[in-house]
Amino acid sequence: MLPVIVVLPLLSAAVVAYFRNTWSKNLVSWVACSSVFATAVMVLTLLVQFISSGHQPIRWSYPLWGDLLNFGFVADSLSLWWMVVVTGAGFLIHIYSIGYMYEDESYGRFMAKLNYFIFAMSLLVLSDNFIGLLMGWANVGLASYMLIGFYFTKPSAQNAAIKAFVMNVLGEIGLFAGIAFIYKTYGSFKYHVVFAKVAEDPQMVTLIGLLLLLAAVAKSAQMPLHTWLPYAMEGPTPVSALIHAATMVTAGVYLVSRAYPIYEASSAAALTVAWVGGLGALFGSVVAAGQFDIKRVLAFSTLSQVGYMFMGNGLGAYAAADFHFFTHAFFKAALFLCAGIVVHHYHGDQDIRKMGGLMQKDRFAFWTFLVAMLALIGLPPFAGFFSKDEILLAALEGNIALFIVGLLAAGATAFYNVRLFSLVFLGDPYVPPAKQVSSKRQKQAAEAESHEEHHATPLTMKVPVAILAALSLVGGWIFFPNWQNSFLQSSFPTLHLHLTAHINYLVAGLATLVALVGMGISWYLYGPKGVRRQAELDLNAAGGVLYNMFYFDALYDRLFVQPAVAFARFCANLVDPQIIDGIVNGLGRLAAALGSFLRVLQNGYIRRYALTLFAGLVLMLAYYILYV
Amino acid sequence: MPLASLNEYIALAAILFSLGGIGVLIRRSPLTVLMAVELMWNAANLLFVSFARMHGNMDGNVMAFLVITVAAAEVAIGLALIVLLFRKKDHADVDDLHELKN
Repeated sequence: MLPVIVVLPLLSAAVVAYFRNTWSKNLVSWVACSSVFATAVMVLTLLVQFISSGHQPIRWSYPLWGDLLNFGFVADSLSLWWMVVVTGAGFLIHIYSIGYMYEDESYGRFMAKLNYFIFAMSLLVLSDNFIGLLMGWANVGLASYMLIGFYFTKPSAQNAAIKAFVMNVLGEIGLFAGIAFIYKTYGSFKYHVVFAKVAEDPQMVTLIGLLLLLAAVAKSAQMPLHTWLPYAMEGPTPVSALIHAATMVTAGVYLVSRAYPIYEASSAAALTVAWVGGLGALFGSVVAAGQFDIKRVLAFSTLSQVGYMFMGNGLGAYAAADFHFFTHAFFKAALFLCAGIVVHHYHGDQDIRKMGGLMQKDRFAFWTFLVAMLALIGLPPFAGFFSKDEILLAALEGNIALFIVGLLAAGATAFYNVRLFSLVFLGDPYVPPAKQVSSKRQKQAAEAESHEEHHATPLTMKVPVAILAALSLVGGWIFFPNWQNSFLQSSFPTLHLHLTAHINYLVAGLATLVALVGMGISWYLYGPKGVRRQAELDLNAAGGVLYNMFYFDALYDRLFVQPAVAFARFCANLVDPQIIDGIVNGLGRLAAALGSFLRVLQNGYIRRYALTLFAGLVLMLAYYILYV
Repeated sequence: MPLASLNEYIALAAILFSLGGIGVLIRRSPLTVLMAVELMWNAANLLFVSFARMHGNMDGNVMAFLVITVAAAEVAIGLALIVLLFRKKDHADVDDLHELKN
């Protein structure tokens, strides 16, 4: 069943891609969604089998390259934990895409690519060796590239796709080098063989850990390789929800969790992971407060939440990080899908300054967004509260500085969420400047017109959002007696996870307090009657440090892009025309010069040729007579 | 009449060859040039025969007959060319034939 889970979405992607223009859109939807549904059912079957067999990993392998690599898949608690989210959220987002993308002329192409992503992610998660992981890793990168650049006629989408691909290739270099060192040091690609030997060479372990971290940082959009994620929002919203929020960007978290013996063996690598994550959590949540694109706010929110997961991983709380991945997948996917509904209302305009007052027009989006947002902020009893609490607890026990960073990030998270929510759903609707000065009658006409523009949200979009919002509400406490820890324990055999219900009231209280303070400040500033609301809504206001994302892009532009462009110009203007063309043209000129010299000899006079012949004869004779 | 020594035959051949060569170089009438070339052929033939005599076998003589045959063919082609040249131009001069210049 394991290889079927991986191959089925690929098969369906190929079939849908082949028939995308001949089949009706309904048939495409049925094939694409049912393949993912079948995959999800198979994953659940495996889950039941795994639990009922007393946590025995289910394996399948095939001797692909003889002794070098017995290629295989494994369903242990960690990979099942991830597969449940990948196929579950994947299925819901496929359903959502039916409603969201139906009007698009490239609907079949979209569904095929989405299926292909499910295949790539399954390959990444289910592989029991580093080669399969690398293959999945590269394939999700390709799927991400294709889906970010889905609207390939838009130059901004093309650029965003290329940016994401280049950043991810940087990470893949790290992964490739890390795997090469793993094979050189431990002589195997198999997880269980490698991890059994990991403690042998401390320095090598640190090197491998840092190289794998480079890969994780690029894939999970952590600092300093995060700059692709905000631009990745050029892709359609379901893509942002599935790939750039729920699953693919958390692949780095999976990698660190999977390779946990390496980070257990090297405290330096683990500490780096924790600090990368902590700073990412703070950075993302602060920058999100300065963005005006609804999806970009959520992108930085993802960056920040994945930072929490990295922090948990680095502090040794792998199960907590995986739990946060689990809850985050639901509430962030819900937020993105909700954002998709919101953006549909505004005909694709994603600027939150041009929204406002959506609560009256779309109650459904209002409530689901609110629930998912409270889960993201981490208020009890929403899902995010339980998972974030576990990570903060690990920080309190492990590293007090990171605990403070995490708390600050929690406050900033509450701040930007309330700002986003208030600007989109509360207050007065945005009125375009041209219509502002008009009389009362015209204003009413404009309102009536804008009411008509708000078309009803199809059921295929509402149901997935509702399910995900419900999971954001209950996804935390149904697992509360640390069910997730007892489930994941078998994947972390050398660790002792808390198996009993326990909650640290200091951490929970502090986190809730900080979140409430952040919400309060944000409400004071940006609430319906907030003091900064009008200034924030000013479309002509200059973007500050936050809006410009701390100038990371400008810095990279100066450091890497401009020198590369200058070098390319240098090559184009000097090296190619002068040196390379110079050599080629020089050879041509040499032949021409030789030819024009020899041409003088060919004057057409027969007697001159005869004279030349005789002269040569005389010279040869003279040589023989004089020297031989 | 005493038999001439080999060196004398070689010297005679060299003189004939040189005379033919000079004729080719300095004469402008194609007919004369052809005759000078014929003289050079025969210098070579004389050497073939002389060396055949010296070695006491017939190889050189065979070669000389071959050369005479080829020379006859060459003269036939050469004369045909000269006739065509006379038809094309009112007077014949080898220096007029420089259409292949450069």
